[in-house]
Amino acid sequence: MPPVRLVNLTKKFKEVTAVDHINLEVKHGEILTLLGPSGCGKTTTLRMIAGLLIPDEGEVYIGDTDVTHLPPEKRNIGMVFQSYALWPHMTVFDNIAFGLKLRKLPKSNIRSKVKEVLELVRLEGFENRYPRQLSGGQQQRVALARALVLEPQVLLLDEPLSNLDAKLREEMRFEIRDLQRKLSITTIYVTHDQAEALALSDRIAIMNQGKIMQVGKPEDIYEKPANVFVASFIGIGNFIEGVVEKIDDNTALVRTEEGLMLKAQSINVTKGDKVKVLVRPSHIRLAEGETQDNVFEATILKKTYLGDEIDYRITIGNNTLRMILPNDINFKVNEKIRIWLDPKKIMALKG
Amino acid sequence: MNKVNVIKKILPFTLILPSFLVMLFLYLYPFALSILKSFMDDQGRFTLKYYEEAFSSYKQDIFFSFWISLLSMFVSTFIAIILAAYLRLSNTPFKPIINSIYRFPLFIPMVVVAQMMRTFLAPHGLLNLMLLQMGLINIDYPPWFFDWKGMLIGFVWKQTPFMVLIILGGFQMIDDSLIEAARCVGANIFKMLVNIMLPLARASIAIAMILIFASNISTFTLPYMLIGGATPTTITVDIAHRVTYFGDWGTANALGVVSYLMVGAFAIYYLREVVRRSVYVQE
Amino acid sequence: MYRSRVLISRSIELIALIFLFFWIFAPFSGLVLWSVAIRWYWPSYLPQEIGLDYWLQALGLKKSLAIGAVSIIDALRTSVFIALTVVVLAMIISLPAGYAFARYDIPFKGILLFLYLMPQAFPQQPVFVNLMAIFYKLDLVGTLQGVVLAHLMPSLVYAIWITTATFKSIPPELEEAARVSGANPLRTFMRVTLPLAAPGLLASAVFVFLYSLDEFTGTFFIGLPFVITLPMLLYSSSGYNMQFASATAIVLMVPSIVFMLIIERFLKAEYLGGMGA
Repeated sequence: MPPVRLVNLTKKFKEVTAVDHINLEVKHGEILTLLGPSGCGKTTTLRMIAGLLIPDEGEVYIGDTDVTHLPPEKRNIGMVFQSYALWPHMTVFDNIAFGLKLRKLPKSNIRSKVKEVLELVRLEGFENRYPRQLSGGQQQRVALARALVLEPQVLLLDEPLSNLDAKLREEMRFEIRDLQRKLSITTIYVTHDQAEALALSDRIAIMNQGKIMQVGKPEDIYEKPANVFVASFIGIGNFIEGVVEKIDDNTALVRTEEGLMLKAQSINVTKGDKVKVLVRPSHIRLAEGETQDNVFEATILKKTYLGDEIDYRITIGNNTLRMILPNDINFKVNEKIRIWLDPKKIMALKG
Repeated sequence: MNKVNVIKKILPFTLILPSFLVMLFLYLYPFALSILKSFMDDQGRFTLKYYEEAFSSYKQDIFFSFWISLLSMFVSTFIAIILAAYLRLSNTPFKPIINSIYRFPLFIPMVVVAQMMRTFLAPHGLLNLMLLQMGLINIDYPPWFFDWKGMLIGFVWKQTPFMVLIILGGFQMIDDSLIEAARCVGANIFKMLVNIMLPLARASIAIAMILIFASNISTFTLPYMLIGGATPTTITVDIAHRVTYFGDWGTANALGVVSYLMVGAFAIYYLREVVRRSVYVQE
Repeated sequence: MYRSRVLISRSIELIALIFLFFWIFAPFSGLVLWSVAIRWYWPSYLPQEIGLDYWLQALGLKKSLAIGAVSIIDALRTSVFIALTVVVLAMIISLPAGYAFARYDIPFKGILLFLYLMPQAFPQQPVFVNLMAIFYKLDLVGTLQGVVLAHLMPSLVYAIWITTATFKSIPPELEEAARVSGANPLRTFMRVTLPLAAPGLLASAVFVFLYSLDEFTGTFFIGLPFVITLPMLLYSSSGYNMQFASATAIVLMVPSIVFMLIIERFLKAEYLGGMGA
């Protein structure tokens, strides 16, 4: 029994369909991230799982219970808000203990549980502080503690790191992931930051305009994106447009406008399709040896020194691509080079 | 250069001066008089006889003014909190209707409210007619409302919407996420109101209570038209009688000062709450 | 299953709505019924005979049998005249004061603003009673001028607080931009500040107008027996002529209701919550 299951979930706001008949199953103990640009429906979906919104169509199952119309106070979820939502008139202790008091737990139990969870988030001794006396990162950890102390079936996080500065954000990513691993609690995470999603998640569900574009492990999404949207949203992507001339198993032969021929991976593509071939910087190498497939003449257009690496803009025919190479070779602008696009890595994608 | 600077410095004061003069002569002067004259007899000597008179003749009325104002304020507060919480949290199609209806009494002048209550609460008035139709009262002995009962109804009818406005303002300042977070840890509406909303809106509620209590104690129109000279009546009616029938400014002012003290005690609390509020951090 | 829960809670809401409706409008309907009741004897649910007789008397179109009855039209004229005068005076006084409080650092600003709050926060009647004594000596009792002054004092509370808040809400940068473009202070005020402040100032004027129109206590002590405003008329007829008094009450309500619909836009709960009086 999957801990969370969404069936045909739909939510409309006046004319706009924010969430469009999505289906999703979350696995036990995993961190599943809903990733996408603003307005894609990820937060709306999360709020329907929490019970803060009622869907127009479809169902939400937590465990084997249909919770679709159940108010949040009756669901067994823990939620961390983007603004942390700590109650300013209560101490850290009271903030965390509130849910336990509502469940009428005896005082000594409450005290020990709060102590335990504060140790978990590394805020021992902070019981009597008020939220206004805490830094952003500390407030965030209290919010996390408050959600975890109730031992919920599912942990929901709504862009919890967006209000932190960049360095803290990176640190907290790993803290959250380590915490989650320790507790093995099923977690649904919402963010628009793809680096965050790649670092944290067991699986990622990429959303756009209310629909799920692709669900999979970070490496699968990165290496085998299902379409151009996913490919351009995650990581750096270069695209070369062309038409499919021949298909051979999973390999497609693509002809560009200027007549260049590319051999690329493909899924669900047929002869005659207009495609964009995804070329990640890591797929571009300097050509060695005799002529092979996918070797092209390229001109250096621009270069940017990044330290250990150099970021080049190169042109192949009418296409401009971004290429990143280690700094041991230093090309000059306008220099002509021969590069090789790995046919086992580059992908022909539709729309 | 110096002339410009001098003008610049004087300007704010000149702008305020007319208003200050009006307040000085038309408010502060008679206000000071009301206190001074309560302690001075005809020869200008200090005396407490007016206070003695006030407390001997009007003790019952002083007590009446106090407790009816307090009771009405508490009843209004209770209703206002519930209504404000409803308006803050509700999403149903009924809410906009309730939102526009409840404000109606705000715009009705007190003198019209007094007249309304006179027709509504009269022995043969609308309320008793309805009670009669429902079989709750005896046709020959309809209940009498021109006493504390009428005052209570009049006060609650008129003052509750204003309290709702202030308390709702306090509730609006509470961010949605604080309320949602409470629901997510298992709080139902009632627990949320008591543990989250009321504490965070404490200042607004206190301000509303003080203002309405002061307003209730000060009101002349309603008790004068509803109760008039019957006993017990309010301090304000007694002050009017003392002045118009006895020409006794001394005792009238003594009664006035008593009402000042009752309001003042609450006003001091109000000031403290406002100070506390500026120190109080809200998300 | 949840549908039945929703049905129950909606029903409760509907019942509450109906109860609220009756609570708010039943006293009002009593007024309306009385104003058109020619004969209404207990225990009839509705008047036995209705007609516009008392309305005609009230409007001065029909001769009233009551002794010394003043028509509503005369009282209305008096009330409106006084109210308009008070508005003009209050705005002239409070406009500069409100601007000063909003823009300048005035020593004891807090105390001064509290002073302007006092007439509404503290019992007013003792102050009016003593003002009456002062006005006796100045021959102002029973005069229009006296009543205007008596209304002016407490209405400054609304006027100054609202104009101060209004001017405060206009970012000083807008005025600074005009000054930098070459406008002198007066011109800036007339062309930039005043137009932007207009809605708030209008609200202030309306509050003062309504306050004066509805004022009872000050007029009672200082205006009687010669200045008969609508509230005075209402009070005096309430003792012996319910129908007349009810008609007067309804007339007195009209300006307030009209302005309620207009002011509804300005009277937002958040605004009041932040104002904190």
